[in-house]
Amino acid sequence: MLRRTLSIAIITALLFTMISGCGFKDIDKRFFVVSLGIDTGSAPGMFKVTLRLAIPASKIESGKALTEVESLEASSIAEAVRLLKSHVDKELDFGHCRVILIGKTLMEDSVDETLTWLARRRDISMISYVGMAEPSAHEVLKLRPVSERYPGNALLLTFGNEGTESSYTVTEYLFDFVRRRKETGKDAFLPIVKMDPDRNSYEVNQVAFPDKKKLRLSLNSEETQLFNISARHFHKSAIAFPYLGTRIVLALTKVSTSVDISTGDIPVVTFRIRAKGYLEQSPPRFMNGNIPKIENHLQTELNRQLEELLYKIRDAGVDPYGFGLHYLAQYFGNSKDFEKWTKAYPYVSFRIRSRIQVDKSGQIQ
Amino acid sequence: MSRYFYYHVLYVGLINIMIFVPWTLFQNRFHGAVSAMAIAIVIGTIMAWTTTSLFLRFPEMALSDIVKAYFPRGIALIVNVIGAIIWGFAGILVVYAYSSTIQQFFNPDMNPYLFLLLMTAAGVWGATRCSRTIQFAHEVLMLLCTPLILMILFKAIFSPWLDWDAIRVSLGYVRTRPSLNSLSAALFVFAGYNTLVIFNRLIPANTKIRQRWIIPVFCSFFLFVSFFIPIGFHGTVGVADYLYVWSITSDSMIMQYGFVYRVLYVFLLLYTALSLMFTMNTWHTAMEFIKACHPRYTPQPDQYPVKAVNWWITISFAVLTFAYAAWANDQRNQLTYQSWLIVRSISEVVVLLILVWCFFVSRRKRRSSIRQQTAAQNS
Repeated sequence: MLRRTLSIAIITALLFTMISGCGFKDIDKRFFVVSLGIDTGSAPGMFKVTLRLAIPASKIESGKALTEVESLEASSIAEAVRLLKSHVDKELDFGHCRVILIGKTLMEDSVDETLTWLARRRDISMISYVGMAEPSAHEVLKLRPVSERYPGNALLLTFGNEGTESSYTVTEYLFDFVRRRKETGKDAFLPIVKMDPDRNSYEVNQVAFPDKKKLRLSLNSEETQLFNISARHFHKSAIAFPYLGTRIVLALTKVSTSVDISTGDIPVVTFRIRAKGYLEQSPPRFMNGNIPKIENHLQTELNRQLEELLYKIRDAGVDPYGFGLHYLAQYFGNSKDFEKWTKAYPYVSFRIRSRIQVDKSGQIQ
Repeated sequence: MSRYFYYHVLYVGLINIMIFVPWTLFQNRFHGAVSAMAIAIVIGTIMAWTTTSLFLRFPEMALSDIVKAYFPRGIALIVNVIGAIIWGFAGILVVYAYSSTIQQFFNPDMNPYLFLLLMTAAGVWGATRCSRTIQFAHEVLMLLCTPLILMILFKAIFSPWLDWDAIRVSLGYVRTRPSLNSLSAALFVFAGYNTLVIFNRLIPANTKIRQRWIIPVFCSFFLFVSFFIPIGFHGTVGVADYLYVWSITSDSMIMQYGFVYRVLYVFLLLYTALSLMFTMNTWHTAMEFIKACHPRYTPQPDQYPVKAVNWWITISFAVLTFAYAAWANDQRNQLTYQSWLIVRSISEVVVLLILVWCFFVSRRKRRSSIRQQTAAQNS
């Protein structure tokens, strides 16, 4: 019995020797890619791939995080990455790549090929953040922010709600971007990543709207915030309204929206937005503290701002709000209904119904 | 005792992802998948209800024992062989699908047969155990899996990135005509009760399986989840692009403060357990069918230590898995899965018909024996 057990144990141990040395590489023989940038190359049809590689360090200190930036041009992204492997001493690992930047010129051209490559690679996680880099992904990735504690984490903390939560920063994940590029009646949006003028941090406060093929519109930061609130329900934000030469600032605590689209030849989109918040900045004794009056004033202001934004987006021929998909969902439409919608979309009219609830006027009256 | 029955219902309902049920449905999502799902819910519930009730009329008898008692030997042999093929194939398909998923997402440089070896070794060892041990193993594995299942389900359903508009749009295609492919795929989710073909041996006489609403409620829920959640994450158009669509879907969720931030790895861990469970169970069932082909076979659901023949039969399944892996590529694989699903649905109906027949024969026999007894008493 003992001999049998022993022999089984030896055979098992021998089998385990087969496992070693296949694909597993030690962590100190790997280069972790922390961000990836893709641009158009110098010649047409060429891609320029930029990788930001983390250099592991024993000491963790702000500004001491070391990264290496490698970039290369080739006629396809896959080839560029393969070629880059010959420029570094360790195996490239995309498992920790959390930020993907697409250069502006590439966005203006076409990103289909890029997206197929990203979706095909199984090691690039679908929850990476995507952004459009201006002027180019290479320029942005070359930047070394002094506040970085871990290699490449400054850009990572900008998005999502791990680090800073700015209402001007729109967050977009890769899976959502891929989905919106294919979906009927819903177009993509991408945050624009720029370098700060003092060249030590990033500036992400604008949004770009491509249609199914290329870039169509980019918004300024005020409009970006409004888009973030109305489309993404971002509630940690403040909206400013001009009032008799001064400005009233309403800090939001809760946002909810609903969309209703009428049938008919030219559909009417009724966009309802409910927001709750408190006054962060207002003239003293503003409207005698008459809350309903204040709310009324803010509502008309918000209606006007939103209407302007929605018409601007409509005129650019993009649909990042997904009105088309919502139209199909509301009436359980098929491809014929969608054709009708695409024809009608440039002419749809918007009706904004906002409802603002001012909770309290801050700490003072 | 009925809880052991429901473990089967639950994990078969969940394993549908590994048998490419969602993939088959997505290919037909604009051409009858949703209507097929609606029909499958009705048919699946009725079939599950009647088959379970009929099996309870034959306590401690597996399908092979029932067939042996009521049919000529030749027919019983055919039923056993067909049963073994269908069940054995189920395990082979799941092991293959799981090992190729793992190879895709863990380490594409790995030799694909190596992982297959590890999986089949575990499956073989599990399947050789006696029926009672396997039943208890189901309970343990199900309890281990439940928190992971709940976590992924809740993360998916309550994710703010889930697009309910896309789900509603695809729901609108309920008005299209259902196709056979999608119907048989959707029916698979309800197939858990079929494990009674062997595990009915462990159900003693006069057992009642209560709370049978669990079958339609949970299985429809699993069916809806495995179809609509990926649509909500990848859109009505994008969803058909992915082969391993649920792996990608779980990769679209984030555990921000988790030990690993990609939910993908939790998902793969969960499906390791579920696939092994499914393989263990199906190979065991197929093995019992083959053993029942022997004329002097007597069922021993509590046998320990197990006979050597158990090992030889299940090892041959493992060898067949390797042969399948060598033969299969993506296209052949999809074809096999779809034909297997259709054949399985037909076999389900055949089993039901066999049971109905046996039930009437047994009732007539019992009546005539009672009549004989009363006649004897009267005289």
